[in-house]
Amino acid sequence: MASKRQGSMKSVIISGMMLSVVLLGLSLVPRGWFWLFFIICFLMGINLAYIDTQLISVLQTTIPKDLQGRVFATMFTLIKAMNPVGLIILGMIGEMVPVIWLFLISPSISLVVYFLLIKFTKMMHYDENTGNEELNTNEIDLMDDTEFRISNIPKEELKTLVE
Amino acid sequence: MINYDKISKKSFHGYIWIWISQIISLIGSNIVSFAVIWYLTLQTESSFILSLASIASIVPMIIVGPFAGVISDRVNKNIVLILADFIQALGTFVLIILFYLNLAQLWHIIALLAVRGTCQGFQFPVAVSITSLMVPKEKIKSMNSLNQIFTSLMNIASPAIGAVAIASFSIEQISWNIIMEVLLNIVGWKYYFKRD
Repeated sequence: MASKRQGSMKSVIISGMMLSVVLLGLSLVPRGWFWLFFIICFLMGINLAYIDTQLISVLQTTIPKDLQGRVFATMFTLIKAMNPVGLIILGMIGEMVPVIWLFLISPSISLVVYFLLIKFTKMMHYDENTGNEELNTNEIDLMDDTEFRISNIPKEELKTLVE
Repeated sequence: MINYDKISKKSFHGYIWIWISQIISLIGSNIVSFAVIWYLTLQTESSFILSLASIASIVPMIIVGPFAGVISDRVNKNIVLILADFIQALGTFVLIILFYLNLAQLWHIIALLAVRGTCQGFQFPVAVSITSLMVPKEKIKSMNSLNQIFTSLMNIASPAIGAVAIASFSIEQISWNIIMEVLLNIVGWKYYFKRD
C-alpha cells in the first residue's frame, strides 16, 4: 500500500500545470463535441484529486506537528473565502465579455503563477525531507551554543537522533 | 504536554476508528444539509433565504478560521473536537424541540446553520492535523488517498439519500440524524484519548 516514492511539491506543481492546460483545452472544444467535454472534465477530476492528496500529505509530513492546526486552518479559510470572491468577480466580468474569454484567461493566469513559482521560489524542491534538513541545521545552531560539536557525532547516530 | 513524536500502532488503530466514524457522520451531516436546503426552498420559495442560508454557513467558518488554528494548537485537540461536536448536537436538539412545539422560525434554522459552520470551522483543520499525529509517516499518503476517495463517494451518494429522506420523512425526523452522527463521532474521538 504505502509507496516508497515520497510525495513532493514538484508533482503538485506539475499536476497543477496540467490542470491549467486541460482547462485551456476546455475552451477549445468545438460545438457539438460534447463527449470531448466529458473526457476533459474527467481529466480535471483526476488532477484535482491528485493535487489534494499530494499537497495535504506533503504538508502533514513536513510542517512541525504543533503548528499544523493553524496552517491547515489558514489554508482552508483562504480556500473557503476565495470561493465566493471569485464567483462575484467572474460573474461581473462574465456580464461584460463573452464567457469563452474567462475560460481562456483564468487558466493562463494560473499558468503564469505556476511559472513564477518555479522560476523564483524553491517550491519545486520542497518534499518530505525538507523539514528534516531544516531540523538538522537548527540542531547544529543549538549545539554550537552549548560547546557541543555536531561533527563529533557519526552521521548514522545523528540521523537516529533527529528521527 | 503530549509527546508528538511517538506514534504507536495502537494510535493508528484508534485513528482507523475515528476515520470510520468520521466518514459515516459525513453522510449524516451531508444529508441534513441537503434536506435543510430543500426544506427552505419548499417552505419559502425565495432565493434570498437560500443565499442567506449558504452565507450563514460559510461566513462564520471564514471568520473563525484563523482563531481556530491557534486555539487548537494551544488547547488539547480532543477537547476542541468533542466540544465542537457537542455544541452542534445541542443546537440541533434545541431546533428539534422547537419544531415539535411548533415554535420554530426561519431564523432559528439559519442560526443553527451558523453554529454548525462555526463548529465545522474548528473541526476541519483539527481533523486534518491529527492525521499526522496518529498515523505513521509511511502510511499518511495512502490514508489521505483513501480519505479522498471516500469523501468524494459520500458527496456523490448523500444528495441521493437526502432526496429520498426529504420525500419520506419530515425535517425534524431527519434532524435526528445529526444527533446520531455526533454521538457516533464522540465515540470515535474517544479513541484519541486512548493513544499511547
